[in-house]
Amino acid sequence: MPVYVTSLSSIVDFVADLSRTDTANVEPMAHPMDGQRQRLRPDVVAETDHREKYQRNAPSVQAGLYVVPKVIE
Amino acid sequence: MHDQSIGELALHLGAGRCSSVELTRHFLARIERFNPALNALVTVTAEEALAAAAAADRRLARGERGPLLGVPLIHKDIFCTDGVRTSCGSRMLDNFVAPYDATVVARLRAAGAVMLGKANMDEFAMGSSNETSYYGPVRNPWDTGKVPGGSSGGSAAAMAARLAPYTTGTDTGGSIRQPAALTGVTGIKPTYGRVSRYGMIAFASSLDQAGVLARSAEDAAAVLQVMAGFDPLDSTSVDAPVPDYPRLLGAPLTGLRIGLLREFFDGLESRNAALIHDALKVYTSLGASTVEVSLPHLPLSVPTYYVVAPAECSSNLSRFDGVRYGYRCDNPKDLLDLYRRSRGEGFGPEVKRRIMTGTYVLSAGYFDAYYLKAQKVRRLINEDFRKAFSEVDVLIGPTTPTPAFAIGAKIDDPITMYLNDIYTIGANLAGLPGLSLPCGFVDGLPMGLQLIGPHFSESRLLNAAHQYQLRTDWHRQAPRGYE
Amino acid sequence: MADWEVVIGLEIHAQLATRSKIFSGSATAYGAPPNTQANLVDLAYPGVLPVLNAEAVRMAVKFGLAIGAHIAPRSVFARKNYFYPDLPKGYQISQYELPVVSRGSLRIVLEDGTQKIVGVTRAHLEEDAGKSLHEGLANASGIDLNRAGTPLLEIVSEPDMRSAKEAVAYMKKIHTLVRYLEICDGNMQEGSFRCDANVSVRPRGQEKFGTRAEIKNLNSFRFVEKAIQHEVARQIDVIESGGKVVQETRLYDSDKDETRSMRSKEEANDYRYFPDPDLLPVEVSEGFIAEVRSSLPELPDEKAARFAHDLALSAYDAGVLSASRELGEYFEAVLAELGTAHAKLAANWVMGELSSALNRDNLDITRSKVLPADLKGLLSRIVDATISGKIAKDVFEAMWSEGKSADQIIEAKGLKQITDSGAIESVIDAVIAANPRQLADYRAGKDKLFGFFVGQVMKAMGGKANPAQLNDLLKAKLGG
Repeated sequence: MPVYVTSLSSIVDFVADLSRTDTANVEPMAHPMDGQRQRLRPDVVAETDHREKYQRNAPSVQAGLYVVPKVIE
Repeated sequence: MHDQSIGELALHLGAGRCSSVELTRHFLARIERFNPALNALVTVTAEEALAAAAAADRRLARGERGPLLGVPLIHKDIFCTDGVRTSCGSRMLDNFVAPYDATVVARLRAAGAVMLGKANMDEFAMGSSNETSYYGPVRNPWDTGKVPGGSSGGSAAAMAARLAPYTTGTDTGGSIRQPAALTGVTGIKPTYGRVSRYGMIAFASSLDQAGVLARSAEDAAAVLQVMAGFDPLDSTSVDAPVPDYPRLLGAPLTGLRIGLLREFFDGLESRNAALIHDALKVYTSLGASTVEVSLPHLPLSVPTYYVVAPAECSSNLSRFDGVRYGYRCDNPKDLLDLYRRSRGEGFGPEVKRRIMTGTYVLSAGYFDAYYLKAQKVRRLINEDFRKAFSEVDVLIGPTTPTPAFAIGAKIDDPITMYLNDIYTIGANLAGLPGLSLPCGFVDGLPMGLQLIGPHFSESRLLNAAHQYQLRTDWHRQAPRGYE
Repeated sequence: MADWEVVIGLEIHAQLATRSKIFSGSATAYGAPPNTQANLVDLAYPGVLPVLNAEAVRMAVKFGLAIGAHIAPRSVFARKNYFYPDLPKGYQISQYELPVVSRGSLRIVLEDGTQKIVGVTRAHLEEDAGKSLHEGLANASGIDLNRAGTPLLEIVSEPDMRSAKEAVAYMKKIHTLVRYLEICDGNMQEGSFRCDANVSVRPRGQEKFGTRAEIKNLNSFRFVEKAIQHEVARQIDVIESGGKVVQETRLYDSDKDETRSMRSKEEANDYRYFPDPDLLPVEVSEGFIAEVRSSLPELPDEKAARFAHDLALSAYDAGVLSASRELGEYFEAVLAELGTAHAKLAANWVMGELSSALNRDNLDITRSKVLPADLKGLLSRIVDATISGKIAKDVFEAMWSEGKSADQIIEAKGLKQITDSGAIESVIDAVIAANPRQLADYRAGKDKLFGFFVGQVMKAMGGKANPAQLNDLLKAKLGG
């Protein structure tokens, strides 16, 4: 079994320490600082077509489309 | 030339005593000479560097002056650099040439910085020893059998070996401060949101910050001045004015209240503790006072981090699927095969470990017990820091539990590796700025002193570090053979 | 046979009509060549970050206010994680626990006039995925990410609907509303308005809901109705044959008029939602809400109520005329000059001749070949009896195809109504004289022959006799 699989259970045990902590009435923090609010940007088109440049890194492109094995719906 | 500070180099350039091209050639030669033994750089951009240097020289000739104009640097390979490979230390991006500059890169470029190359790093910034890189481990110039720390191990090793006047790094759980400490350089992780994350390949979005590794706080201040500031492309970037860090370096330290964290000093190895206490004597002689404080939830910072960071990274790394860029497996037979093999072959074991851990802690049935719980404990840790900073201005303690360890010593046991971050992780969870500076040696290897401050107190941290560096010379010492 | 009750909930995805995408500055215009409207953020390049479009938030708030919903003062974006090639980040930025809009409702009116309130559980902001195309690629698919990142408002109803007809009425109401508010163009062919239906059945009287199936790929009102009807029949059939309905996603096939189970698309039911750390909570202030509220146009229900009350139109007529903002505005423009006393006449013409012509030529009301002032001109000539209603229809057709005014056509074709009693009487006399047998039959009791005489007189007069006068005079002369 790959080494990363066997170590997973020890990682999970390690983080189980958290369960012993009393967090009643504590709000979770998804961000490191409280009180910040999302900035809103104006509804303006700010981009031009750079398809050629951006597709240079693509493993497989045809007629401007990214090609993948068939997607079955 | 490689022993000069950034300020001195800028003066020389301004006075015409040397050109940016000469300076660049000098560092490129050092890289060619020393990198094979250190493996600190993944990519060397000699041609681009010389072209940028020539452009800087033209600006200088026109009378333009700037603190970083014409001064070379090395970027951690986590920053997207337009037209240059950006590997993030991974096979997944070995063939990836970034089509744009990260904001940090663009700002430094505009200031006339000359990029010498991209520094090696732990794969996707996951590691504390730079042993997980696809390109092989980085070696510590102080002892090439030892790790330089991670994940900004290449940046730290290059800095210590004087392969560039300064390097950039990123810090998610200590990845600037810890390698800075293990290689005897000065590294700063700014407040979360102080420096833009746009173009910095994401590991854990609510913890990542870009920063700098340099020879001194004075140099770090000059670089941070250019890197910092609001970026409209990053929603988590803070719109607050950037203080004049270089100008504030000289402020006196009288009245500075230093907090000594009980949790940091409990069980601290004696030689490490002795170095910290020596450092504190310097501070008290400058008029600072010390008081013991406690952050009772701090010991939980490592398990908290190892839930939150993997959770965020498991999602951030989902975009690497072999479709639009990056590694793709040969002849995928169907979609599932494309994903499985591209990701299975493209990622190393530590990255896979963290993705799996992250997926686990976010999954239905475990979310509350792990992810949600960890985010609640995160608030408790935050609260502890807030209370401490109501009594003190800065917290001082060690950066790492031990000096650099041997390559290969810990890589098979992730938990032991994770505990390397025990002193640094808290600052990331709370978004606080942290700085590590050299404060002595143990067994001939450098050790770091860590300063942590409240949000947006970078100027105070740099000031306190600078005042210490005016009276000590740990930071001026170079590893043998690299002077 | 048990008495079955049908339970339906609809999830509608409305593409918001912003100029740029929800998290990037790329254009949202439909029909561009593949991947020419996909920037680094849309392509999920390493290192990119989302920044929220203010107009998308505004549009969501507009919708929320229009359905009387609660607007969250603080809402959060969450990542919905799953792998699919048209989802470049491997997660969709959506909203989960704290959507921007919740707890609204709207009133629907069915064809038979009954009304019902349908609850709207929530409406939240999220980004659209790209598209996969299959033509011209052997055993492969081509991914176009132009659409990836277009803002969507996902509108989720309570499972309050009890028939396919109710579902269609609700869908039409939402469609009307988003177009009124100018937040979505409602173009179902282009995919800017998409509907999924959750359908289940239960024995009447049972409180617990039956297992539901989700039907996707419904892009017309007609398909929604047929798909639901088919699905209901299928579920009842399954249960009555002793089977169990499976919770699954089904696709509606409009060619075969049936729903079928989706072939195993690796459905990740566990999306591992968590708050997106790259985006901060969105705060919507009371001041902002008040400002948006004051900018709302008159809503369809308000307009319909006003038409019904002020103009004495039937609820049905008022509903039809207010179904689209432009139609209502057209109607009111006609009335402005014609006078509200003739509301019924105007209503009949707008809903009748005008709508038929628009449908026949596949035109939107905004492209009508007869403008409100012109229609008013025509209707005035009916009101002042220059022409009859019947002749007016011919005049309308000519106006439509020639672009001339009513007066111009009436003049050119000499269509003025004849109101000279003497003239009408002489024609009546001539017709009666020419048809003695029919006269005798009529006087003997065959009342139906009245119509015959009317027709003959009209024919002889080129249709231009004033019908009312003709009737009176003919009755008098036939009375005998």
